[in-house]
Amino acid sequence: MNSVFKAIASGGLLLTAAGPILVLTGAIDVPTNKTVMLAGMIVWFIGAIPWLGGKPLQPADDQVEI
Amino acid sequence: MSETQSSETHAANEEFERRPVPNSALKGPGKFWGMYAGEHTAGTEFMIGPLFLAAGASIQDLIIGLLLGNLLATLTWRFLVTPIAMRKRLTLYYQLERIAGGGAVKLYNFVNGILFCFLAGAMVTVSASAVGVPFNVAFEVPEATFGLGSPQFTLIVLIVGAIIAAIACKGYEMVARVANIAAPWMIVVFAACGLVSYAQMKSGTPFTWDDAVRFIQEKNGVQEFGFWKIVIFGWLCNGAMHFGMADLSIFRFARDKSSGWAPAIGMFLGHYVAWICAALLLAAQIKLHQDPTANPGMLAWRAIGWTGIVCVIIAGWTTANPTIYRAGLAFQGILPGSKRVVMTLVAGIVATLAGAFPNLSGQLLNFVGLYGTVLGPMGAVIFVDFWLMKKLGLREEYASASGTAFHPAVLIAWLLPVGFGLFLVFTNKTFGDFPAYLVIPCWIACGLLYLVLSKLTQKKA
Repeated sequence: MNSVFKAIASGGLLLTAAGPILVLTGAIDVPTNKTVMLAGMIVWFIGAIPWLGGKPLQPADDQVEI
Repeated sequence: MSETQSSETHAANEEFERRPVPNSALKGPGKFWGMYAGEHTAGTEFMIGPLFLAAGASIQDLIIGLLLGNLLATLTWRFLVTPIAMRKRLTLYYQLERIAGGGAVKLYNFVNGILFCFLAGAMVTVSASAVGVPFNVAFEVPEATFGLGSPQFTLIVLIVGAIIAAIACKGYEMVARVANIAAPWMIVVFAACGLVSYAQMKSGTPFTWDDAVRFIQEKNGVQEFGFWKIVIFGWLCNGAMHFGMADLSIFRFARDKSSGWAPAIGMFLGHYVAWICAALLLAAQIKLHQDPTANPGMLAWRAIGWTGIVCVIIAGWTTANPTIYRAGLAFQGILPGSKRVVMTLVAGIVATLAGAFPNLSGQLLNFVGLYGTVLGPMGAVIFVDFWLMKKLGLREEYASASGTAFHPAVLIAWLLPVGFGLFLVFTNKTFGDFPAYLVIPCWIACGLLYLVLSKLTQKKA
């Protein structure tokens, strides 16, 4: 099951990354990219919450870094 | 068994606050690379990046200066912090307690807590700037340092601050999980901001970084942020963590020396890619809207829409939350009978009040330098105690050996250079206009003073 969530999250991340690259190449405009990135964000969190949410915390997690 | 010897038996969730981390709890380099990648792509980046442009830094200086500064920061973590962390395997606080005494640690912690409140305040402002965008609430930066923004913006700051403080009262675990979940996505979002902004600057009539700097300087007056200033800032903005040895608490878990290189990923993703991308947001905004306001929420909204709003809110919140939590712990240390929840609320209230003054977050470049100047020198005490005391025939960890709560040599060595540094900062004397310049002089002065004073006081003892 974890690999399914990982795949969903990776898809979301790819979608989030693809939009701006397409804007840079001129394939899509900025308003379209905003929709693509919003979709990517939703897909990322659908996959990443069950995938990464249960992982144990690390020593840096209660530290403050700038 | 001596106090500094490690024991292999421990509970799964033990934090080893008063004993060395045992071998069975050590972590491989991969964990550290993952941790640092997420830790330095945070709310501060949305604020610091645009401030470089607003301060008049050239893009060439920024690209090369940050490269050098981040390299120096990484080397400092690797060769200053990691060796001591791996030999002692103790938290910064416990090492300081053994050297300076419990009372001195409380004082250090209290000062740290106050500074944390202002850092958290800046992050509350960052989150509020994003919350205000959908409600059409303007982010106005008044002239006066302690001037409030619009009443609506102040109200949003108060609501956001109250929510963050309430969540911090419950601890840091839940928010740390949110931060871990969001970290990889946030790195991509920062890069996206840079790519979209660059595309916006290129499209139609080309608009360069220099055009943006010129526009800001015509509006706000000429400012200078040259190459060496950028190098020093890149190197020392985390001065409290490397020169100040705060990250001993992290690297005490390192199994391998190579873990000491892990901050490189934080530096080059967060303090390089993210800063430059965030700065490009402001350049593109100036081109498209003739608006030089470094409003993180609006900058992200204009470039990438709702994704930007969510990213700025999460980035600000996940930075403010552990900051308020740790400030609460620091205040609780001063008043041992107090409840952590109450002290966290106090820290949250101070942070929220600080967040209501937008100009304070606009001073983040200077604040970060001040933070390193005040806390960094304590790292020199640890450095001297670890590397030099024994070689010079002096006793290490003197407070632990003598049973004192305030080792005067440490206090004088810390407070004297820091006091002088603060005098320079607040009277705007040489170097005082950029507090990050003072981190290394104060660090060296503190180390030397500690050595000389130890020689005097330990002989008397």
